[in-house]
Amino acid sequence: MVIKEKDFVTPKQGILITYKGKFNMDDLYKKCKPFFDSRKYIFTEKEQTEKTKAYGNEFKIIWEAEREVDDYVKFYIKSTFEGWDLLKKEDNYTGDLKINLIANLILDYRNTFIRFPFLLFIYNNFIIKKKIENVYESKLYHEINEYTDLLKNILNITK
Amino acid sequence: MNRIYLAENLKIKAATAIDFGVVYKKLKLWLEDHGFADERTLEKKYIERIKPNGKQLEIDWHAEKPKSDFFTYNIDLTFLIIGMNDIEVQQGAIKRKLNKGDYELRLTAYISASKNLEKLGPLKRIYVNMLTKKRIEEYKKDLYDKFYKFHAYIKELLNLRNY
Repeated sequence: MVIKEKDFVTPKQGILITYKGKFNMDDLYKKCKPFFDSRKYIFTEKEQTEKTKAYGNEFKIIWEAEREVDDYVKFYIKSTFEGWDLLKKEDNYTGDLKINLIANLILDYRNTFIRFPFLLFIYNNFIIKKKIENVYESKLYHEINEYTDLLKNILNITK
Repeated sequence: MNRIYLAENLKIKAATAIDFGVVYKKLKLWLEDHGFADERTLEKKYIERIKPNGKQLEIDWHAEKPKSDFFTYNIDLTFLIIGMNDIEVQQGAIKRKLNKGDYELRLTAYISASKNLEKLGPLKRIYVNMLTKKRIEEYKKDLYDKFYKFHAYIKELLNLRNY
C-alpha cells in the first residue's frame, strides 16, 4: 500500500463506539485529557457545543491531539463525542453517545519535500517504509488501542 | 515568520441562559488583568440587530500583549449570538434577569512578529531568528498555557464542562 503524507492507522472514517444507556460525561471528560498530557500530546479542544432541547440535551465535543515524534513524523488523534436525547440525573446522563476516533501519522510535517513530491514518495515508500510500518504505525496503533480501552473502561463496555 | 498559530477557530457553543452583560465584563477584565488588552483597543466590531426571534449580536475582539521587542501574543475572540431574549429566573429568594440564546464563541491564538523585526536588515534578521528560535518555543508554551486558561474560564462562565 502506498504511504501518503497522512498515513491512517485507523480506518479513514475512524473507529466508532456507540453506546446507549447511562454514563458520566464529566468523568469521561476528566479522565481522557490526562491520557494525552501524560503522553506529551498537544491537546486542543476544537469544539464544545451544548444544547438543551425539549426532548433532551445534545452535545458535541471535538478534540485534537498532536505529538511531534521527531523532525519528520507527527502523531495525530481526533476524537469526536456526540450525545443526543440525553436526560440528566445528578451527574449522570442517560441517552445515546457516539464516539469517533481517527488516528494518523502526519509525515513531513515541516514540509521539507513540499516542492519535491516525487522525492517524498520515494522517501516514504522505499527509504523509510519499514520504519514507518514497524515503528511509527505500530506505536500509534498501540496508543489508540490504549485510548479506546480507556474509553470502554469508563463506559463499562466489554473490551 | 509572520504568525505562529497555536489554536485556530476553536468553537465553544452553548444554548443557555446567562447574564451576558456580566460574562462580557468578566472576559474583558480577564484580558485586561493579564495584560492583553486595554479598554480602547480591544473591541473591533460590535453589531446588534433586532430580529423577530430576539437580538442578534456579532462582536469581534482582538487582544494582544507585546512579549518582547520582536514578538507579540495575540488572542482573537468572536461572539456570535442569535435569538437572545431576556428571561427572569428565580434563584433562591432573588429574581434574576438572564439572557437566553444561542451563544457561539470562536477563539484563535497566535504569536506574531512585531514591526521591529521587519525593520531589521536581512543579516540582523538572520541573527535574531537564530537567537530567538529557542525563545519562540518558550513563548509558544507560555501562550498555550495562558490561552487555555482563558478558554477554560469562558467554559466556566457558560456553565460548560472543563477538564
